[in-house]
Amino acid sequence: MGTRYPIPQGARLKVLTVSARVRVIAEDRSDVEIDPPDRYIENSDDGHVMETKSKSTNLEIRVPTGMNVSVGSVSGHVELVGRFGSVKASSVSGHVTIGDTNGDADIRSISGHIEVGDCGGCCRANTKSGHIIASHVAHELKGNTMSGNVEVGVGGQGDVEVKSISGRITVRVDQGRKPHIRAKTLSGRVRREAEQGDDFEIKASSISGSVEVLPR
Amino acid sequence: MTSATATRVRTVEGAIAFTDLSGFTEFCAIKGDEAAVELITMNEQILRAEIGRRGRIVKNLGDGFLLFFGDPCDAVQAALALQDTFEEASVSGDFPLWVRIGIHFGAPVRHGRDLVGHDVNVAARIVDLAAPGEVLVSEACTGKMSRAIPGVSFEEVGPVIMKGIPEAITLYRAMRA
Repeated sequence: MGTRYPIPQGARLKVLTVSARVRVIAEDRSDVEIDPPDRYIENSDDGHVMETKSKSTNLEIRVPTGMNVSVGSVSGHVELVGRFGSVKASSVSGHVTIGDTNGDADIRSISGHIEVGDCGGCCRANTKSGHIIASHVAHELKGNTMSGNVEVGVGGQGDVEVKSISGRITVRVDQGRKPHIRAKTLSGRVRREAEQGDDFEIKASSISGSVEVLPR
Repeated sequence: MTSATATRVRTVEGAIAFTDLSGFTEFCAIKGDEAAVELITMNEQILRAEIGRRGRIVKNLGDGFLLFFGDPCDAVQAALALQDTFEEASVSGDFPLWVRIGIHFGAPVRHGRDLVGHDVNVAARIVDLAAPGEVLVSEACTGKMSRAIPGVSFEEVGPVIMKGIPEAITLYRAMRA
């Protein structure tokens, strides 16, 4: 059982860690609960931010469904389970796994993998050597990786721009949406199997990886 | 009797920017050294043209540059102009000018023509988190901007903790509004 904190109107949760693993669970509740219970959550003076920090102690935090969350970590893995509002997360070497979001997601890592479930807004995912996997992004998507693969599903309500240096890119397009596809690779293979049109644009580029745009 | 030699440290306040050309190693491997030289030459020509007199090139890092600007607004304007030009060149040509840019404000130490110190290290960490085509700016830099830049907006990226840097840094993405 953790320590529970009331949420100031409209506040978002901010978590900062060095090596600690962070797990945030969005569920049907109205307050925030942090475990271990000796960890503090402080409200900013304006009440817009609830902030907690941990160097190496792993954190599990339970928040209401739809809460906006931002997490910064050096080497700890970041895992967000459930449905959130908007999410901003970064980890230098840890993996970042995000469940679903109603709003936008901005996820960054240097050597960690990035996984996103169903993103109802715009999504930016950027890593140097990790994979990027996004089950479904409704609106604009920008994804960049160097050596990892990119596998994303898109709803086509916004443009898609994906780049990889050596990783394979696979973009799966919702049925009924017809993208204008600009796929480019210097030495890989290109497959354009999704039905094409002018509903939105997909720019997928790789230096040595293959590029595929397929129907979902 | 001992004699101590005091090292006089000269600092200079301003915006420190790193650029990094993504995928240069892979490009060399696929296209060969001649094309690679052409790519980095194009990168440098664009950079010199856009920087102009607004700032100075401190150091050529091979596939990137360390830049310095007295005025942080100039740094952001130059960085966005660079990205616009890199994007045009990438679309129209065969060369992937995928450049990441990170900007921080501080007081680095002069070491000959070079700049060193904590703030340079922070700027180097920021560029690591930037995506190709993106300009990331630290809160220290946006906080020092004396004027709004017409047609430019900043979007918070979130809290970032960087290896070896004790405090969390808030980063912003500079964008054309």
